Amino acid sequence: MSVRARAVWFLLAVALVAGIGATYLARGLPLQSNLLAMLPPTERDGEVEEVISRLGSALAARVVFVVSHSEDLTARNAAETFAAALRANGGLRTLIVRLPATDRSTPAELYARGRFGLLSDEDRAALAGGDFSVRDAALRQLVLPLPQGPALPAAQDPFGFFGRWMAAREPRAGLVRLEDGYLVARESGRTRVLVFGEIDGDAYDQAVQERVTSAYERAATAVRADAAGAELWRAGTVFYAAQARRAAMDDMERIGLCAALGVALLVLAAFRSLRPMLLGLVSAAIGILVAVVATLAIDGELHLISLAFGASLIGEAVDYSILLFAAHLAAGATWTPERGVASVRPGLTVAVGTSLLAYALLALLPFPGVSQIARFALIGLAVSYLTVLWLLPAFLARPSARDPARATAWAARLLERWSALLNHRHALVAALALFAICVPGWLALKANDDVRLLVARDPDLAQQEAAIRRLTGLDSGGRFFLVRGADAEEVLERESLLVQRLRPLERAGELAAHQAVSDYVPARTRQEEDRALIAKRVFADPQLLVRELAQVGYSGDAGKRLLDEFQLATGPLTVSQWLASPLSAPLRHLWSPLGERSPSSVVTLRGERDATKLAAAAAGLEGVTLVDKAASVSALLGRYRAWALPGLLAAGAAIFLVLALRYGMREAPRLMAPVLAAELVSAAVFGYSGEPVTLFAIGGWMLTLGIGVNYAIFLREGRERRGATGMAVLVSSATTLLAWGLLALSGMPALRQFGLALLTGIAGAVLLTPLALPRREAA
Amino acid sequence: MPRLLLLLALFACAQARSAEDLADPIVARLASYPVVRADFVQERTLPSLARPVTSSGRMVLSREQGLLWQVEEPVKVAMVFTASGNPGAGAAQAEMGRLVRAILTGDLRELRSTFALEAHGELERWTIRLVPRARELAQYLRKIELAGGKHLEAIAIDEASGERLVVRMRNFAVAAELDPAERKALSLP
Repeated sequence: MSVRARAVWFLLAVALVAGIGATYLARGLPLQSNLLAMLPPTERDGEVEEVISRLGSALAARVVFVVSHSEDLTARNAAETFAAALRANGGLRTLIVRLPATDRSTPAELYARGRFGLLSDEDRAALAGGDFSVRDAALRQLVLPLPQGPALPAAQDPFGFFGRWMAAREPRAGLVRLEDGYLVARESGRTRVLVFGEIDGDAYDQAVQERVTSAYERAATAVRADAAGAELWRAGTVFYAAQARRAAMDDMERIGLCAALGVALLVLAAFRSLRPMLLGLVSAAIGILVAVVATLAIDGELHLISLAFGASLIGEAVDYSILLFAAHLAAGATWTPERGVASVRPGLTVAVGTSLLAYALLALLPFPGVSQIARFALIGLAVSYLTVLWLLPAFLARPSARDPARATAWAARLLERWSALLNHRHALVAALALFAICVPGWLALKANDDVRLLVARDPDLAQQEAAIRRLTGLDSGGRFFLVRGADAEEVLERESLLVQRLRPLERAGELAAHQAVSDYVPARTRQEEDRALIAKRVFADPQLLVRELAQVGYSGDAGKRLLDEFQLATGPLTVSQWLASPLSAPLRHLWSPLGERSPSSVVTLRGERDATKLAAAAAGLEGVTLVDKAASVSALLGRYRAWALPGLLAAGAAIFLVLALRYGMREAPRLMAPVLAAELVSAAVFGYSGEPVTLFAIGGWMLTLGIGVNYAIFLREGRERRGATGMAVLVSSATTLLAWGLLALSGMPALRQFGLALLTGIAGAVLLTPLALPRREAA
Repeated sequence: MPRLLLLLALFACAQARSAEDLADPIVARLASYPVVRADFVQERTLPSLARPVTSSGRMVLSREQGLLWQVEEPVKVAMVFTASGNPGAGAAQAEMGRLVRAILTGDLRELRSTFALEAHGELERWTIRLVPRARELAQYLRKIELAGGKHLEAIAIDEASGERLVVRMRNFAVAAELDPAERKALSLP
């Protein structure tokens, strides 16, 4: 088959794949951008994962604003202005600046009928202790100079059991209080008004982020125009996500532009033409296209991380075409596409073979995320390789017009000088010195898998969020307990056991507060016990009760009426009654997060200091699981890292095997040496710079291994055409360094670690590459 | 003579201050005593009570520490409002504590943010009427009336439900500090 015919067939195949890809795109590319969603399930327990995602999306939708001013009234008005402007600009599903007035009788409506089964812990203990006197208990209620609050009239609750039970349910008096429906806090001479709501849509959706942030900006402008001196705080996942996306875009623009310009200039300088770069990009793009389509066909969705990592394969794929162009240049007038391809094929095949082998090993790891990346890389590289062999030659039909010796002489000269320097007799001393310098760096290496370190948070936003958190006691939602049982009753029972263990932590200041349904609806057994206790201590002697209440001062029929109420109110308070009441509105999400099929509830936490103490508190409780997503993700990243390190070694071993098969046991170590040394130096740099070793750093080293060893292979295979291969190695390493090493400057820790590993590894590998050549040849 | 006239003129000005301004010196004076002890008698009236319930006891008010309210008759019961606020107190109790603390520390800004405040009379014999501003508090508290001279001598709390509590205090004694038993009672609940 002629070069041209093969290229046509190849293009047809690519067009076919592109067509399939277009059908995927037409349905919307299923691209995941949520960092957590990019990871496989962290929990072995699917139900836990489901609760996390439900609660997580509810929490991610939450936004809280604080509008403050030194004047009370101005602060309220500013909050109203802000809310009105925010509503007008859209992006939010709900927004509350002023709570509707609640009926004073609402709590009584829900609880009053069941009140003879509701005792606060203190009253329960006191009653169980046995010293109860109707007279003293009733008098004590009447002589305290306290307003009754939202409880029942004294005659219906003469001993205050219900009032105290209700008071214990009330949210703790924090800095915020309710004034005319506004949630207001006063501190440092300012009145701060809370405004809260939910965004409409997914916080990680770019369109949603843009709508919400622009609505916020406009509302903020409106407030500042309206009330001079007003101050605004905001908190919510959507703002962090928008900021992170913006930072990533800025990064991509800055770094991407620098890299593209640099690469273009380099290629232009080396080849006096931009064609090689364009064709190289075409080759890489075809590889990525096929990889995307294949991944979608296999997995159904594409992780953004796979795409980002896969895109970095451009660096390696472009190297393949650069090798072909260098051969084209070096061949001069003697060039024919057939002969050119034949001259690069052996080296290229070995180089691709080593990379594919490394990624094939990676694909075998039992981690779905990593294996998707590996499959993506395998397919992408293999296709790019085929592009170089089958498609690109068709575009290089004519020989180069430039004098091959002149065009590549600089590279040959540079290579020779550098080789001579590396083989200088002092080089060994320098190597030993370098080794000595590296040792403290290796010793300083630290692994850190904390996922929170990977998320760059805007300091200004974080400060505002912390201020809002301090004011409102907003929970972060990162840690919670999931309680499961055979039925609602068992869930409540288990939950109250858990709450009993949490109380000491709260008293000790280890935990600020918790929220649990059983605090509002005690288990039926507990209600029955409490009722029995009241029956025994209070209502056992009806005559005495009526007489003593009358003696205290109550009207004659007060005791009798209380007795009747006790006899009539027999049904316990149930969760469904609670759910039906407006009082449960802020807490309904805690109940039954798994729906009908699995009775369960969530206990949320606020202000917890030490997760291990929480875990210890729940130890041994049946049906209770402490869910800590950040810790789970960190642990998962740690497991990945622990797997990736042996994976790196295995990949190295596999590459060595290929080299040994092709070049023999004597030459293979020398070919491996430069990249290995470079990786070791790179590791020392990580130690010195204090960057932790994460999964991303190891990913960078993995890529470096594949790319770095190629330089040695190219040089070894191209010994006969010293200038052309030297040039290919120099140009391709420079493009790789520019394209991916610049990531070391990124503001995003994950990309920075990845970039630093590539920058140091590739730079080291290319500098040491001449060592791969036998001494006498190099000299 | 001109000097005396000037003094008289100043005095007249002081007398003519608006009622709003009167609250400042009253509260400032109440907050100036480090520790005040007094006896009290309180009377509670409820729709469901055939007759008012009367009780008596002793109170200690410390600017630094808080308020200790000890009912002796007809039943012994004590209540504490610490100056730092009662951790874990419900909203109603917290509101009460806030009021007590605002009076203790002479924090009129705090008082005015919660209540519409009206002062009548003069510095030696005054009344202050507090009407809740926020509808939430107004749902169960109609008004509080304070009266006194050098000291706060009477408190009347009118609740929205028709309940009423009247407290009268006498036998005031100002001291520099709490005695150990009181200090213990007021150190955290």
